[in-house]
Amino acid sequence: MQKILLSLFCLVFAGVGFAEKLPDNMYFKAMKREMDRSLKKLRRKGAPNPFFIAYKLENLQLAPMIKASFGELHPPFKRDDNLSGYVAISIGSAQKDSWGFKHSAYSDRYSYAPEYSYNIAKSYDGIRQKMWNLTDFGYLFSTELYQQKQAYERTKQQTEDKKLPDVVLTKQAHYVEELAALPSYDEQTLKTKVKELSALGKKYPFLEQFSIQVEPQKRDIFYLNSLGGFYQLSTPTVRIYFSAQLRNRDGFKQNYQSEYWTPSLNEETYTQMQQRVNEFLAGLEALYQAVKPEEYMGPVLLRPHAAGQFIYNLLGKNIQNQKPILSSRSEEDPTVGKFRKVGLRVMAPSITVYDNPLARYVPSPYGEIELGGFMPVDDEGVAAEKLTLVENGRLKQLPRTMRPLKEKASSNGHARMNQRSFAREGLTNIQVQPQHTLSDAQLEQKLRARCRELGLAYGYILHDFPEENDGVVSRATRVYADTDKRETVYGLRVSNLTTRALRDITAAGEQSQVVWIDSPFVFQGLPSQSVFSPALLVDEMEFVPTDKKPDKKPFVPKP
Amino acid sequence: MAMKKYILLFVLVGLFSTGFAQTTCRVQDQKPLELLSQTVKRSMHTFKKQDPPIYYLNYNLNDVDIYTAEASEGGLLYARDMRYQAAQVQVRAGSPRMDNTRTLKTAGTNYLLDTVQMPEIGADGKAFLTALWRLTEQAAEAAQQDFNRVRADSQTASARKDNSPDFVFPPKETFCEEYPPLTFDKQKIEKLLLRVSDLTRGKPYVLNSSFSFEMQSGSRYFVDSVGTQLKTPVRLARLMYNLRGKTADGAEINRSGFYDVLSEEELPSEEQLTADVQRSLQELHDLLNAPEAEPITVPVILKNKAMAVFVHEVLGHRVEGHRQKEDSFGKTFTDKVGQEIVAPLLTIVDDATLPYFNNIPLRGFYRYDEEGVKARPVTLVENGILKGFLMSSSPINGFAASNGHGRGEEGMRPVARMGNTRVIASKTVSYDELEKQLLEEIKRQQKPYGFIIEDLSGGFTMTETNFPQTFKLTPTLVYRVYPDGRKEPVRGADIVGTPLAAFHEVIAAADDYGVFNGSCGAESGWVPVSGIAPSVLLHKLEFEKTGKSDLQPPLLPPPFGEEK
Repeated sequence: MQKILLSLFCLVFAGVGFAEKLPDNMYFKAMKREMDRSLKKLRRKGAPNPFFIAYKLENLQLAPMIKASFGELHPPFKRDDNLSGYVAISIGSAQKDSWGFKHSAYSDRYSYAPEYSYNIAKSYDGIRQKMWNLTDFGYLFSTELYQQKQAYERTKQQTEDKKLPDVVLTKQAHYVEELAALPSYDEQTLKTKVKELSALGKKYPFLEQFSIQVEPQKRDIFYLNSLGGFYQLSTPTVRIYFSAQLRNRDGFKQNYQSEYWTPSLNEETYTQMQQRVNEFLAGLEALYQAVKPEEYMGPVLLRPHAAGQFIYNLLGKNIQNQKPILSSRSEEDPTVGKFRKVGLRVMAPSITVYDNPLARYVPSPYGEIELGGFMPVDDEGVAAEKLTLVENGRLKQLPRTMRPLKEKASSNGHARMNQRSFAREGLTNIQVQPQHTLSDAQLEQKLRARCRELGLAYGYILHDFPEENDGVVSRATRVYADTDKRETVYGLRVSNLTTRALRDITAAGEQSQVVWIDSPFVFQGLPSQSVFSPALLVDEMEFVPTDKKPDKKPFVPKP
Repeated sequence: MAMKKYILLFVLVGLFSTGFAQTTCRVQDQKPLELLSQTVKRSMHTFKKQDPPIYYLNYNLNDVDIYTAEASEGGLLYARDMRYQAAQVQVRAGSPRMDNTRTLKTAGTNYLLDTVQMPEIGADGKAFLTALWRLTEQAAEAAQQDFNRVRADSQTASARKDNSPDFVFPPKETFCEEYPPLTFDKQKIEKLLLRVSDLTRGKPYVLNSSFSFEMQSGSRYFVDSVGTQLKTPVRLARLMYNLRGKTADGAEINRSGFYDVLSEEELPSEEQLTADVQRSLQELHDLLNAPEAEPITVPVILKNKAMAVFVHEVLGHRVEGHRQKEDSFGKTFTDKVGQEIVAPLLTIVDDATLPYFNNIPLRGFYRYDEEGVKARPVTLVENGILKGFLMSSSPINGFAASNGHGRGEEGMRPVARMGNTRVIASKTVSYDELEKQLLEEIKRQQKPYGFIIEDLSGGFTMTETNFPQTFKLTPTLVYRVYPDGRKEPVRGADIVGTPLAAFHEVIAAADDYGVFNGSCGAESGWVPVSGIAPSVLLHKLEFEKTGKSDLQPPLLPPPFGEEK
């Protein structure tokens, strides 16, 4: 484990460029020129001037998707390359600005989001034109928001919070890396490989659909703000996606998917793809044989993938968005994280959790695997810091932006902006590090032993973990306490899940895996957060069988 | 008599225009048709025995090359070139008298069709057949569920005025037609788009602009359980631009241009395109500085393209067959067959078999509709008298069969839609003469002015009973014409009215037939359509103000407009 983390950090700093000068390209030239013009000229009588402007451009370039089903290629489908842009503008001053307030939940226009546009013309003029358009709109809306925020605050008691400035200016940082090319690959080899691997699905007559798709792509991000912070990131990557549909022996229909991201396509990645397809198919075979579950309350072993999703849902989501957004419609902000007090015992004492925005890749036996949340400079232009979120089970550090919470603490570089929100406290690459680890076999032994201790006939191993509290687990294996018997179940639904489960972690595995979290970029097919976690044994969780009934057999047999 | 001449003319135009490039093909040589037919046979053998039975099945397989590119301010937004192959299945459960497609009482999705992107056929066709099988199974399950809901709904439903069956089997057809793929020099087109997009530089009143090209070229395969097997061409290409500005009081003004073509030679020259864009820029500028129109009822000339849109919106949608059947529709014309519904001067025909008019490709051209029924000219109105309706495979009282107008976007169940809607005037004058008549009419009615509607981008018409049975059309270029002949552009004049009254107002027509090519959106999605019409003079039309944005225009001028 230690070795893996060390390699991870070494990789991170290879090729980093903390530049002083703006990169000499049309993206920054256009953004700079328009930002300067807006700061100088954008004025409205009776309204404060722009105080902070941030521009962000994302250029997504896609190679044609290579996809095959049951041994036949699909025509080469290509989504549009897309240059999209964000403009975040705040007016007023650091003491009192227009952010941190949301007028209404009813309309996008009044939501807490930056101005956004996709399909921007890829030219200096096109970028300027769109940035102008978004900035102008953003400024107009900001003047409304500023007035509303002031009016709202006048109705409230003068508290310690209100004495805080809205913004604590923090030293700005720069990061620039060369713009990369799309991942290179031999198209014929890739097509042959994808076709061959998809043909493996023919051996499983119960599969109603089985496909493999590979999408080489590249994402360039250009960020600039009016305080002088900027960054340029260029990430060539390949999305590899497997999907299947089956109807198990009882007639229960199930879709099953798996995806991962890799920085390149070569022999090693093909070997990895082969292995992952084999594992995927083995999982499908198990799902076909699956039996119906019963109510269960007891210990659960989360495989690394499930553990990553579990950590994100119960810990990650509760640490992000630290500062509530004020609103005239509701006094409660449902998006705000629940873990806000440093020192709070949130996890089992054997667990430490980091958030490392400086990590980019992790090694695997087949080469590097990409993490989703690499972010050397945040979306307020502040150098991002690695945080120890949880140390020995207690909350230690929280993500901060330039918007202070209770004391005049400056940002630690964790402001993240997306289509749905101005920059708020966000996480990047969450890494779970247990004090002690066990091998897979030892973890299973421990699970069985705990079942025996509790008088349970079996325990569960989860391969995936649902996003929602009452979601259905895609794949779960029942492991019997007194025998070697194992069987996969279908339709197992998580019930009454609370953050208590984080404190019930009793053991962890040796090998960690990356899980990519669906993100605001997901419409472009790119992740922006990841969790790197080993398997976790949780002492108690509750499950109930799904209410969904199995379907009848197909009218006509599969050809 | 005059009508017969026109129909003959349509046919000749059709033969001459389509004969030069098509190549013959044989249905039995088409592998997709073979596999689709095989699946139909295999499925129907079992489907018929189910409860409820699945009694009809059809597939549409689109195999097309799609190319789209868009530019603005000298940069490309995107350029996409890909092949698209997707199958769509339509399954009918129950019986032709009552099946799963009947409108559900509560929210349902039975107007949607299952579609899937298909793999290549390959050597054994297995992957293709498996994808098709899965698609069909899903659709069959959904059709049975929908039919059960329809059957339950029927227990409590009030009596239907038109109790015609839900479906009539289409006749068996076999047809195969191929064209060489449409070929355009894509690099040349992208460079052209970039160059013309630069014409907005230095024009601060242009808030945004778009210059684009789109092309679809390939084949559509159709197979059904009646035994029909069709291969028909898909050929659409269009160059277009749009310029947008905004007045200080929030009115959004657009000017646009469209060029529908089927070869590179038919594209406008760069000089022509540049001249057109510059003219549109001038029009945009003039409209942004033009006075706002006031609500008024005055004599009007609808220029040819505007008249084509007017007919499409105000009359065309109301003679779509399914709207005569459902009691939720207003049925403006349902019981008026044989009665005069428009001025006797006009004859209206929908003829989807017409590929060109005046050397302009018509977007509403097709050989067979999405239900596998052969397209044919349909006389809707003859000398003002309503003769019939546009029919899909859903019969109505007095009209038991489809006339080849069952159309829909991929993924949407076809309903009766227009193709090429043509207005023919039995008596015409020159356009100059028509303007003279307008001035006389203004004076005769003692109106302060009349209007010439130069361009009409579209609008909407409400046909459901729980809304007013009105239409509202949005002209994009309108001139106010004073009794002395003076013209000035005005903005913000919407045409509003009711269909029965509006068409009786036509008092004269010009001989300047023009083509409107566009896309029409309705229950079955977006379909390409065309309208052909002469300019007409209307005794009067009512105008009302256009809605405006409550957002002021940008504070700063656009940088592209500021710099030259």
